Amino acid sequence: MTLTPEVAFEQHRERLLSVIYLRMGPNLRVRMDPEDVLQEVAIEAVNSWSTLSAEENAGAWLVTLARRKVARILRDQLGVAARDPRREHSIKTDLPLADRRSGPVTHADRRDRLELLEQAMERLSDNHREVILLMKIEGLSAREVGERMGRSENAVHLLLSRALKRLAEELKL
Amino acid sequence: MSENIPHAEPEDFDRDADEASSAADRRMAELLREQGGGRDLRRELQGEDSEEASDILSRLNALDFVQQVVVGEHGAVPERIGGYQIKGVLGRGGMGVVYLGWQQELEREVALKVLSQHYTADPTMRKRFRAEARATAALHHRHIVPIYDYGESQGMLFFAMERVDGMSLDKHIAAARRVDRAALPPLEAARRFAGVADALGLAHRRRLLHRDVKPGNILVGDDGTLALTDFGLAKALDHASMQLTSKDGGFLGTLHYASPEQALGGELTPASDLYSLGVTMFEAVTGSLPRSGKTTEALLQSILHGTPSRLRDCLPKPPRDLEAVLDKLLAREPGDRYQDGEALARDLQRIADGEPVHIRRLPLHVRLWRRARKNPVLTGALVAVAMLVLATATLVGVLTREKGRGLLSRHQNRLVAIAQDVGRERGSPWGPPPLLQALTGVEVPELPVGDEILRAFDEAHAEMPDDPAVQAMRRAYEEDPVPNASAFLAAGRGFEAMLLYDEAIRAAADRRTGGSLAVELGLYRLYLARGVARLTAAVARPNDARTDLALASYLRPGAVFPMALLDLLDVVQSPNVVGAVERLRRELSRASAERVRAVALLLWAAAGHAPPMQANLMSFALAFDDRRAMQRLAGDLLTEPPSGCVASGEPTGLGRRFAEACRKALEQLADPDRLRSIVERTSKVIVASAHPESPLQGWRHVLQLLTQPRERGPLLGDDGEPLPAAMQLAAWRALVQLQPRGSLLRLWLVRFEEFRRDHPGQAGVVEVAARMHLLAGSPAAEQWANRWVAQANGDPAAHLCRMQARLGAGRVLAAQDDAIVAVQASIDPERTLRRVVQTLVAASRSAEPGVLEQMQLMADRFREQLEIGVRHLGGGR
Repeated sequence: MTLTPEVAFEQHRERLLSVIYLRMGPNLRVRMDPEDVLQEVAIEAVNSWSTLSAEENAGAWLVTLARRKVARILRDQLGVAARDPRREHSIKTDLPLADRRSGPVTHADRRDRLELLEQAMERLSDNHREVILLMKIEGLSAREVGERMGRSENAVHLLLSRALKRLAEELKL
Repeated sequence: MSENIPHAEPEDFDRDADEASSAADRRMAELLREQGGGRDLRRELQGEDSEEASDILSRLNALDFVQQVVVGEHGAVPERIGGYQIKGVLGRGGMGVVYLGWQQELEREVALKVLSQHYTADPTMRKRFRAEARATAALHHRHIVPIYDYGESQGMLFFAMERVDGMSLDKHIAAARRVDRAALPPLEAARRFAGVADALGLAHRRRLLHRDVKPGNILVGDDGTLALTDFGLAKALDHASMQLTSKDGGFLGTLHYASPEQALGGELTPASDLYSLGVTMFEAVTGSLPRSGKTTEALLQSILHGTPSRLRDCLPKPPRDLEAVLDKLLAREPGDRYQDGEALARDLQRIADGEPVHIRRLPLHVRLWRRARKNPVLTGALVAVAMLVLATATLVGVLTREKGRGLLSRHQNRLVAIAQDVGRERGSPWGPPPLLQALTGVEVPELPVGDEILRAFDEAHAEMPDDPAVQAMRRAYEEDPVPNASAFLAAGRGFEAMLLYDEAIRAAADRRTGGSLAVELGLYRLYLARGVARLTAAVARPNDARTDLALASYLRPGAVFPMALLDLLDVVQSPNVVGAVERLRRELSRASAERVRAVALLLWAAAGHAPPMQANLMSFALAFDDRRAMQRLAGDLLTEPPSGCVASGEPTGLGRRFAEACRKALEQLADPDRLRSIVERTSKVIVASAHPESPLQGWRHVLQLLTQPRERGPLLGDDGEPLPAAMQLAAWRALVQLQPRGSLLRLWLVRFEEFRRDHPGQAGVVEVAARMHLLAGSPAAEQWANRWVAQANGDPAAHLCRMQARLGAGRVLAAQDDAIVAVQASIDPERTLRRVVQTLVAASRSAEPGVLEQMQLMADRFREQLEIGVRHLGGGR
């Protein structure tokens, strides 16, 4: 069987949405719906599917696409943010649109979790936030995270262990 | 972000930590390295009663939380399920995930549908899941995706289906939409959908409803063949009591494709599935939906009151036959649609083959009337409901849910069950007590709060004392959200009640505390109560009421009282009331006793033949035949008729109080000072307690006539402008109801004639004219009575009026004809007969000698009939 971009995308949909959501941050989300960004990533995935090296890398490849996408948007929107502060509140109160086919309840549920997670992560130190993001949300291995953060694998696990303790405190778990 | 972090020398310690690594830090790090993080470990730690263990447990919980966000609702992708190797995710639905599986032995791909972990512990969901597998397995059809296997493995419930190589239709539609095209050309769609229609026909013949037909549940094979799948909501037709509620008590299924009856939580039939298929086909052909709305409420509005788009609105040159088929599929009334899939399949196939099909369009007046029924009112309150209801998951819920899923899902189920019981008004069957009483005027015993429900709340509280949702729900159940409004409503003062409910609904949007079930429960009550308020004569806005009741019904599918009120509205707003009454009669044969009684009392009051004195239900201005049919059904359903009824046409409820005040004013015509004070007081009361457009305002404007009997020209409003014709007529009608002496009434006759000439087409003007002339003893009385009889369609009231006019003119034999017709047509012949005799006696007092004898003869004959029973009354002279 060969993996199709649609199946791969479905498989990693939630992870991608989480990456987009958390990387976008609250300010950018006011201007743009993470679901829309996710759609754009999906289209990009279909268009550039041939560049995927091996099927087992599909997840990491998609995450990379998502991260790049958000980075591009952040860059493009940086100026806009400063110019138009009025819109900050415009979408916060948006109603769940009826034509989101995923069903309203699960949708709200997931959003609430993400929001909750983000609020908790906001209060963590940069390193703690980053290690959780990279390892547990974007799905990088300890080695890869170590390379990025300049630590040994052992140190990464220890950092993650501490970060989870703080996160648990923030989430009141 | 991370890209910018400069590389540093690897170090074997955590530089962020202020203190040295604790034992728990290291142990957790070890666990993370091993990637175990497994369940057994958790159990082990739970046994360990140390600080370290609980520290690590909380870290594992945090990790779980993160992972749940990342993998979504349905957990991580397993490697194997039963005998199948999992190779990917094909889709996710309400009940679970569909995986792509590989069956080693047969070397084939299968689609594995797995019930979500959320639900595996829930017996009703397990049952539903198995029902889906069974339902599908029972259907062998080229256009239904077949089932291979069913089983349970590692706590996962699953079944294996044929893997259809291709995507579901919704993906095709979405892809086509991105390039601004439709998924299927019309004739192609007709051919493809014929197969699906036939498949639905088979399911229906097996007495099975799909209940969730939509593009996401239709798979498109590589060769373009469509196959129906996901009988996840399927239910046997035989016990299709509608329960389209999800676990959280909300709407299950996708509203876009729901038929009006499904959106309302009504009873589903094969025609409901075919409606959904119609929406699906429409979307495939045009790329847009026949009904749309930016919010759920707007969409609901459109489904309930709007007119669906037609193909010509979306395509330049649509095939007319296909358009007609879709029009028929999307009809609001199930009876107007195709009744079985085979018939639809035949027509679609003919269209695809280029042969003509013959579809009867609904007659123009029916379509126009239905169009007129759509209700554009969409208040801010509706928007508030969308916010409150759809954001169902509360933060509190999310957190506690992580702690003990089994307990929590049991707890949640219990709360949902309570909410449903409350919705069914168990223990308090008539809705919040004043409601039914306000409308029907029938005293309803105020039942105590249901013990059963209170006990259930106690149990739920004991189970999870920390859950604020329980207390909030209990409050919503026990406490009247707006006691003042209920008091107004009980007195029939619907307008003042409505204003309070408006406010309460607005305020509810700001509060939203206590979890979704409590919020829903509170809102349900508010919408229901406001719907009732809007049906009182003091407000009289049936379309707005329908919206409120639809929302109440949407919040609590299966709730008795909103359903009963909607039943009533369906009848009185139908273009064919008599037919609607018969439909309702059939439907009620299967309904609960509470609903039957509520509907019967409402119909009784609405028929207006002998309404209870305290009834406040608005008048629907129905034709006599319609009222008679409603009265009959009500009489058949009620074990005993309501007591304290008044004669047809007499004011009831709040109107009655206004009438009394006006009568007092009438008595004081000779005393201008007292008259003025009565008029001022009465006006003030009416302004405050009736909607400015309610016909009850007629009682205020009649005071104008009393204080200025010699004034001419149209009746004027507070702004000095002429009142709308309907309101002027309401005032004239009120004047007639006061029954002033003939000599007095003649004062106003000229002015009334002016009004009548200016508004000859005003509905009901002939009746008022006939009564005016009769009361005034005018020579034109019989002529007007003739006109009324000509358009009254056998209404005995018209014949009685003409009888009196004829008696006044000394034409006793002609009067006798009218009397006989009136008695025969009457809903209550005996009562009418008695009235005839009374009228004769009164008329004979002022009769000339020759006429007098005839009258006495006639009176004797009718008295005799009264003794032997009305049924033998012969016609003719």
